[in-house]
Amino acid sequence: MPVGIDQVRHDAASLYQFIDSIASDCQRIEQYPSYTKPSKLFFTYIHDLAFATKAYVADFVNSLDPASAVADPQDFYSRTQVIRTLRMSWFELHNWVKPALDADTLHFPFSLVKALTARLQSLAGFKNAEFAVLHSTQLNYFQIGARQFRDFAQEIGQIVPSAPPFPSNLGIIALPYSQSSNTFLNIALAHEMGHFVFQERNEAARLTSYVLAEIQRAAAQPLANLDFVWSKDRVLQWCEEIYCDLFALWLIGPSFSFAFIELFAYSRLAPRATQSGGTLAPIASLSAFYDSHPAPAFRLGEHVRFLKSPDVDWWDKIESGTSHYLQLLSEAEALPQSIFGFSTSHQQSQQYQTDLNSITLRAFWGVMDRIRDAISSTFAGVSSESNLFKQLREPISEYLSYGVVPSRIVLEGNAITPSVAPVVNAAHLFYLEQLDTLINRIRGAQVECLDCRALWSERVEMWTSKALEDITA
Amino acid sequence: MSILSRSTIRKRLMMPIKDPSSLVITPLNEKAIDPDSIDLRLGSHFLFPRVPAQAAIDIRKKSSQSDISVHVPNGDQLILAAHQTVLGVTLEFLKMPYDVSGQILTKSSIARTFMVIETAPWVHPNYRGCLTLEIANVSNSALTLHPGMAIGQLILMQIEDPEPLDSLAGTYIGPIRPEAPLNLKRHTHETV
Repeated sequence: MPVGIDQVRHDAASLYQFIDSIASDCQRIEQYPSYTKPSKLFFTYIHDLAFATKAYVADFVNSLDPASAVADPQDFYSRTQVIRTLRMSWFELHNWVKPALDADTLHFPFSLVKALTARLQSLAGFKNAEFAVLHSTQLNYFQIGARQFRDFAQEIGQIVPSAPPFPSNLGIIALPYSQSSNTFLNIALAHEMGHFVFQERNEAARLTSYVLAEIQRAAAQPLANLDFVWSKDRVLQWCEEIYCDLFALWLIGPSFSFAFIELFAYSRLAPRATQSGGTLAPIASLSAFYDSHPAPAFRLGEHVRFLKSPDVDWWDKIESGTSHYLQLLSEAEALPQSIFGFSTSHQQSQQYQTDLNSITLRAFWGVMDRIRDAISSTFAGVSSESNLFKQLREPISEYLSYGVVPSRIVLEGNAITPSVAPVVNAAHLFYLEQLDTLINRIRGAQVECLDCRALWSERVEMWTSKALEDITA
Repeated sequence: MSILSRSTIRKRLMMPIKDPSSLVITPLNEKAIDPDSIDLRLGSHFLFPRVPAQAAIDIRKKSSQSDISVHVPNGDQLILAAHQTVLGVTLEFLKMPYDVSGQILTKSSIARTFMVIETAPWVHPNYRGCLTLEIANVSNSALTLHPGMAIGQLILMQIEDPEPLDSLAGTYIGPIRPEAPLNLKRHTHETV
């Protein structure tokens, strides 16, 4: 049955109603005081886009000549497909509105994100960067590329001329809904901010020539075009992940490594589980590279190598600690490259795939220095704050051990407001290594009691969060 | 018992945390220290009690009554209707010395709008945490609350024969948000 004007009107009205229901949610948040400015920017974008789309749809339907549906049904059908295209675009947007509405300021680590953003804004070119936060049902953190949203806005803009552009400098990051009040675990968000910076600085384009050269060097014979592209894509993805790890370490310090270990429960899968010929061999899931991510054990080892580098100079300030997380990090650093393998879903004959995996891994090893160069360039002139940490770790721990928020520290007769990285790392290490000191000071509390540990861990996180709020106010 | 003067307060604020006589007020606004008191500001977290579906709350029993948690970021405001009550919290986190008690009073400029911020104003020695404020609008019109506004005055008093501190104890240790009374054990719904 050919498409008539009535059907188009029906589809347009349905789309109109669909957009309206999404936009009205975005408008309602104006009644509440508890969304951050970046979240409000995101909602305003959706609302303005809805307004523009609805106006376009109304004009479009009014401009249709009913006679043309009869005169040239094929042309009429083609032209009216725009309604369907817009509906598909709004399906996409629909996915992000509810997760953003769920992340009001009571339901994400408001002060931590503010503190991390303030650090990030000190990077050249990122003075105005801001982040809207979404909730995710996955137990993982991720970033939705600002470029993805911009491309999307541009696509809609080709249909709807008055569509607003996606706000410049706005990043979108997501955290697991269940971890909204957790301070230490959410330090993993620093890695997601790294994705935003990687993409905004167009680091992939800069790294590509090195990656191509390394693949050519690693392959004895020229690879088939598809395999070459596949290998390049893998290496670039791994590069981005490592870049984001190093970014997080420079932004906030080793606390990121602790959050990474805790998030994925790697501390229970320590490489010391098996030992052969004097070489520590991690279990398979820790030593395998996947299509999208480098092996966790490799990432942890790389964390230590970077923390030791003069650029950030963190490791010697923490290595003597008693936390099993530090032991795990040291062991990961000692792992030789030869133990890492590559688990892929790419379909090739077994021997050929083995060779291709090996080439891809070797190309990745070859490009590691370029990633470190990219990070050094990103953070040029920005201190890692490791020396401040060295100076303030003990007093910050002492304040926490007495149950006091460490946002104003009295040290040798001077009152000091510590900066973000020293507070986060000293508090995180206190949580990992010295919680017993606090519990022993509380009448009736016992270090063996899990309830007590959970309660006082939560308090340490709250005091850390309050300190960050005070510092960044 | 004597009231601590501005200079004594400043001395106590500069003592190391290990010293049981030390006082902590953070974040500290130096200008908030008056000759005989310290101005305290309103924090960003609030707890609204829900009106229960029962004749009265028996305060000796655990209750299933729910509270509604609200966060009002700096720069925004909370409107408190006439005759409405809410639990608020000070922006400042305190650590009291072992030999000093405190009393928090509504600032006179606030009191004259018929807003009361404290009905349990005594702060014990060794207390640490943000102070929970029992805020009541007893006026006949709605009033706005702005996080960061000066709302109370803390007066500190030296105890004549203080007991030494051996361990931390007390009903509420280290809160940074308003907390419902423990004897009621109410549920808290976090909501916008």
